[in-house]
Amino acid sequence: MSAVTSALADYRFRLRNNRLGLWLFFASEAFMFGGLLVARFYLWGNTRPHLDQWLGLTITSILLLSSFFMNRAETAIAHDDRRTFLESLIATGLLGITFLIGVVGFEWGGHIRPSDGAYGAVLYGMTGMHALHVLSGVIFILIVWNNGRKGRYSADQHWGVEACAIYWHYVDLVWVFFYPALYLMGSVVVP
Amino acid sequence: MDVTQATLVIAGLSVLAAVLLLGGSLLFFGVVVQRQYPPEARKAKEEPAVDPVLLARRSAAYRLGALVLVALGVLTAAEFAIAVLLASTALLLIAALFKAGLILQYYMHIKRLWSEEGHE
Repeated sequence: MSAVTSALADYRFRLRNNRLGLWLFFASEAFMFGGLLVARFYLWGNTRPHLDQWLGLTITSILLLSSFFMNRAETAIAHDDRRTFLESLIATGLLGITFLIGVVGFEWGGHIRPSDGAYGAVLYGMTGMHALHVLSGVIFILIVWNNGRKGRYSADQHWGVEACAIYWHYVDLVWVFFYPALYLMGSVVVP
Repeated sequence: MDVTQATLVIAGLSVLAAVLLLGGSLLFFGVVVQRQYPPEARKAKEEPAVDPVLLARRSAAYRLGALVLVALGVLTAAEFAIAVLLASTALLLIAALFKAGLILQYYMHIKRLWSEEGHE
């Protein structure tokens, strides 16, 4: 076995372990986000506070679009398309920041405060924990973009990109359940 | 400082941080990347992709990503319509599960967990 083949086999072995480790991390995170969802249904029941529906739909669309660009970035590096890779990463990061502005700048600036009983506590707890993950995802994207700019990833070896992409999609996956739970399910009450 | 003021301060700082990140990213991209990857160098790096088979495979992968986005968009619109017209929690949950399935399968590539191969 040549040195190159051996190195690639070693990389693939580590890749499988890395993937398993990342998914175990997601499993542990799922308990936390699941707990927040349980708190929402226990405390709010079949009700919800009045929230700006168009804002909810807009930030959800922005996050879905960011997931598309992240998938595009991962596909691009897997096919040695470096320009699309870097551009798509930037687009993902910018959309992530836009989502944060939507949640923190507009939703949190609405009429509900964290001190407004169960409604405020659950709303700020869920959106705050999710926004923290979006923020860490944006930082992760910037690090990967910087590494990509320096040519540290190739079509054969880009675990950093794959991990960043899966992490970002996981953040999107959480919002897929948070969006209907916060904005759509139950009848509106004024807290 | 009460909770309302603290929330507004946090929101203001977050917006400021976001603007700084956005501006910094654009500046960094415009100055550093342009310097490190002038057009000739970019063209040279993209050379391996001229193989028509690789190009077709790459286009198919991009297309699949776009199709998943369209499906997610349609399901999100359906969720909104369900909430407005039917107000059914069960249907909303089913729509969310479909969206989660699409993301897990096509964006997160969950099947790679059982794959012996590399990134593909």
